[in-house]
Amino acid sequence: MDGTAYQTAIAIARGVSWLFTSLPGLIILGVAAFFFLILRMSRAAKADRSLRKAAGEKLGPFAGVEAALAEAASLAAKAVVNIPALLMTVAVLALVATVSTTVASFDDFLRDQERIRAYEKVVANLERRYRLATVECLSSSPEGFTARIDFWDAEGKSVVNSQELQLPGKELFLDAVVLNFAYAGIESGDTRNLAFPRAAFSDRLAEKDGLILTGAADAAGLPWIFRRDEPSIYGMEKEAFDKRIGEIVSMARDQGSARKAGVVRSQYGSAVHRPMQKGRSFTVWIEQSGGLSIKDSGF
Amino acid sequence: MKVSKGLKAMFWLLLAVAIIGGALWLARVVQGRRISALEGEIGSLKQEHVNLRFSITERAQEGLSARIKLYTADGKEIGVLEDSWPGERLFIDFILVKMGSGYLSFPYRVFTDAIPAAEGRDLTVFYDKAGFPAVFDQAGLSRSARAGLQALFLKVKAGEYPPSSFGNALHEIGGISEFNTGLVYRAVARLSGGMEIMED
Repeated sequence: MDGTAYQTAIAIARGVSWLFTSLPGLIILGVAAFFFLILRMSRAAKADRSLRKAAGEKLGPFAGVEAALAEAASLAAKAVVNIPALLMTVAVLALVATVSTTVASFDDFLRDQERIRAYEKVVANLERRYRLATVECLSSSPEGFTARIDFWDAEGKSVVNSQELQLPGKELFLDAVVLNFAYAGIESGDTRNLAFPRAAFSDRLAEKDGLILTGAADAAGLPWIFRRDEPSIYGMEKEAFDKRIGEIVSMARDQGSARKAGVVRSQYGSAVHRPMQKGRSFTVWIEQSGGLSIKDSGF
Repeated sequence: MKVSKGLKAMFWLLLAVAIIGGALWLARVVQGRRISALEGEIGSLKQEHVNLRFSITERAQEGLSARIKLYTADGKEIGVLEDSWPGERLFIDFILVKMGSGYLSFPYRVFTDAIPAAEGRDLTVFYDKAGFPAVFDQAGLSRSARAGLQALFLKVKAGEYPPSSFGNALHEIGGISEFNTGLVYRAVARLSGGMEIMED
């Protein structure tokens, strides 16, 4: 619905609709009718003055006025006599105005449907979340707990690696570096927020003494969250994808330049945590509206 | 007779067009409401809820010093903590409690990389106003809402995690993402339960 002929038709429809339904349009029509009347009257007056002059009459200041008024009266009489035709003309004009308004309104309807679709896509993208890790408590006691952490791939569809760890205390803190990208990219679906799991500690074990999550990255040190056979996070070929990952990792290391580029809106560490109880499990999610969250497994 | 037939035809045509136009007008009204609802939803998802701001005031070999300020939902400052801790990286811990379709963020404690979380500084005392968590205070808050918040706060203070809740300790990461001394940062909570730190 965006061909030239369609656009032209819409523009004409909008113009006609405006002319017959808006105050300025009606004023223009009224002024045009008024000037038509003045033109006819002045022509009649001019013709009368010419005739009288040719007949040798002396023309006074009001010469021609009578002829002009007679012309106006004649036009009025013609209108009265042709009332049915006049009504038909008015009906046709009303039909033209109504059809034009309806066509223009239909075009607005189509445009707003597009707008609604775009907004729905934005909402879907902002509400989206991706699995970062799943935690299951294997055993717990007043002294400590054992947990297994499963790390997921980029799409959050399959577990790529696991790590078991034992910590003192009651709560597991799963720590990650979080990069939240500018909203424009998130809303359009062109980019998504990222997080790299890095360490685990507990309420009784200080972070500096915590355990490195070696299971969260492959042998080359690339976080599993980036691991894909067919890179499609950004819809790229593998070489371009690897280059992009390199850029992102650099951004993670140089927060100043990333933010100045307007790409990353925030970058920080986030240690989400929950009390551990044997048999219970939960999932850590990367929220596309920003940050990490924990939801019970099965959410 | 001919003109009358023509006028009748014109009338019916006009009526048909008017009905279509009326249906279109109704559809446009529904569209307008949908657009407003979607714009509201997008605004809610991106809306920032800030009840805590902080800045690192000093870094030294022994540790770091920071100033932490707490605010009501209306933006009024209600508490200030200034202290020093051993360690290199500051951690500000929140408890996120599920409420309806969103989450409430309760500032919980402060610790560092050198201090276990259980030994961190309690932040709840700075906004505990006779049992009510003043970080959620705002004009027009109903009595029942206040009572509900008070009950939740009681659990949070006791270290209990209400259903579907979790904690989130936001922090700097040495060499990657450090808090600059003197710069003010805000802890932003969003409807989804996610939190982030942003420069103020």
